[in-house]
Amino acid sequence: MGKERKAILEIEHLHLDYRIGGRFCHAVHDVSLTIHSGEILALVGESGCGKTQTALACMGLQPESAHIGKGKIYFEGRELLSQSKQQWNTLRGKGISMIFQEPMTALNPLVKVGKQIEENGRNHGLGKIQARESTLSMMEKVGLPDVGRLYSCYPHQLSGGMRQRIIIAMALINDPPLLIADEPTTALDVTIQKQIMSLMKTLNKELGTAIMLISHDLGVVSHLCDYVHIMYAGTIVENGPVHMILNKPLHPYTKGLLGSIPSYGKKDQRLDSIAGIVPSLENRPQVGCQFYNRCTQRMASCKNISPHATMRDGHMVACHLYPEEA
Amino acid sequence: MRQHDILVECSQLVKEYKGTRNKPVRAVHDLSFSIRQGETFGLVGESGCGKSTLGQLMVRLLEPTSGTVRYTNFQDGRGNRKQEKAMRKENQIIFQDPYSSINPRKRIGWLVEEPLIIHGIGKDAQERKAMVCSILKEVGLDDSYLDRWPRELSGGQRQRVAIAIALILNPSFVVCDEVVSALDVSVQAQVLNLLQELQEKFGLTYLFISHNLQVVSYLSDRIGVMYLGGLVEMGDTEQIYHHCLHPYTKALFSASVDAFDSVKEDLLLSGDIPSPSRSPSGCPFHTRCISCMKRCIEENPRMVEVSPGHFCACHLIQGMNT
Repeated sequence: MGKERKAILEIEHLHLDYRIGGRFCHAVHDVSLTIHSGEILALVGESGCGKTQTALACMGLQPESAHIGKGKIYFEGRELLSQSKQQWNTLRGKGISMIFQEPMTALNPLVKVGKQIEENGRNHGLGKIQARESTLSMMEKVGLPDVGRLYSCYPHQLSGGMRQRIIIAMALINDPPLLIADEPTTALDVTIQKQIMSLMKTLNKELGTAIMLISHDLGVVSHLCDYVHIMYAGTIVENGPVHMILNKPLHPYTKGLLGSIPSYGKKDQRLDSIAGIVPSLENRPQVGCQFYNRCTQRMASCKNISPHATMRDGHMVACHLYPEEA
Repeated sequence: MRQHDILVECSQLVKEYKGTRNKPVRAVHDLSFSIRQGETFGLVGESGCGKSTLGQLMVRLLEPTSGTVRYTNFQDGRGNRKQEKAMRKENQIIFQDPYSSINPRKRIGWLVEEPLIIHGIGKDAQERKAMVCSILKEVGLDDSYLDRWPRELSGGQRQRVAIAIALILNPSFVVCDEVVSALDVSVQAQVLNLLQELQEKFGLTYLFISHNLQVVSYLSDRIGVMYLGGLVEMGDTEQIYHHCLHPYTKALFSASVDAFDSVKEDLLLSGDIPSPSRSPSGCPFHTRCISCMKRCIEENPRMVEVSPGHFCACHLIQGMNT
């Protein structure tokens, strides 16, 4: 650290709303984050916190019904949200690639996996022979054995771990500067999860691909990432270097998330779980802190005033417990 | 191990399914162990290793191909419908996915009451309703849920309803089949706390099936590690967590990512779990084992007691002893 690195992706005050019952409900509310080249950044939160919506907006893949009210997304200095359809198409798969959660459903079951990887290369200007060569070398890079044979396999012939490797190969064939991985290991077994994690770490080191990892598993995040953003109900409540967040969490939600993780060390004691659940889109408070209803340390000011992000001990937190220093 | 406090005992349990070309698929293979009264027995392993099949065999949702499941304080009721019904009352199972295990077209009150009607418990509707309300309160819901539909409930609330349905008959043995894996971390912690409270209150015995090692080592008194239909290691949680011997257990614990514990030796398992229809010769784990020997390919190791209560099936350990 310390060295000034190039920002790859900058999200500035992104708002993403859905219209429910005649009014706009915020799925993503005022999210700002920056990913530098070669960095692994994590977005952590429970389901329904807007992690995936943020990622989809960076790819221009948000549903038709979503409305991006305010905010800008810059990729290598270029503004993305005002792009035309053609410009999006040249960006996806070449500038930014995405890995989805379910390796079983993300592949086309009727097309050989090699062809599916190759297609992404061909779409971005690789010749026939060139595309095939880079497909095979990419398959080797992601640790698949016997690539000549696997090239002409269909997805159903492969195991979950192998399918996820195929998807990673597909995402990386054009050597994109940024990879968005949406819960890449959630559907996999622990031993396979470990394999995929170490593969992603190696690829990040070797190819210098920046990774935006979306996860709900702080265990995965702690082993893979440099920087963490904790999201709750569409807003970022805390962010900072991973070891800071894990060892000195400040926001009550982050503390709750960490307290909820069961482990052998916590045997014979109850887990400090967070009461309640993430409020659905239409039930979110209009003003004040989003976490108010579930927070154990709430104060009078939390109900009516939205907390502002402040710097504390080297990381950012948005909570009234940590007021701005005068 | 004292004989009298055993609640459920399996011996040489085998479950085979018919595979293609009449080749049997061995889901559970020659498995013997017992669960003690009042304990939580954790069962871990990768998907496809037969954990859920074993869980369903233990509550007689599946009939074993050979071998027996024996309950010590009630009849298993084989061949006797009346006794079998009584056995069903003592054994309950909670499933993984609360979205598919609850009938979406019935109200919560009806769903929780149904087991009472089936077993003829409670004089009249009034008494049954009171019982339903009291169990709903135990699982952290209230009377207002009686007339609600499953679709109105979140995943955590549905899982609470599933727990209420399982516990309303006051069973002695409950199989929890991946009950928290479909839930978010904070809700998962709520349900884990609830399961512990209920166990203390009603003296329940759990078979807790999960692939999540943190959850299992947090909750269980004893742990069994399954691989390809058989147990490879079994012992107290402390023995397994700190002094595991089998290479598979070691790899499994090293692969599990713990947010608080980053200093672990890195044992990366290559490859996937073999298909149970083509299980390898000798030790089932030899295709992925880092310390595979010639003997492992030829001969399947037997379970031996390494230290009191700690069993392991591996030639490496047996080699050290003899």
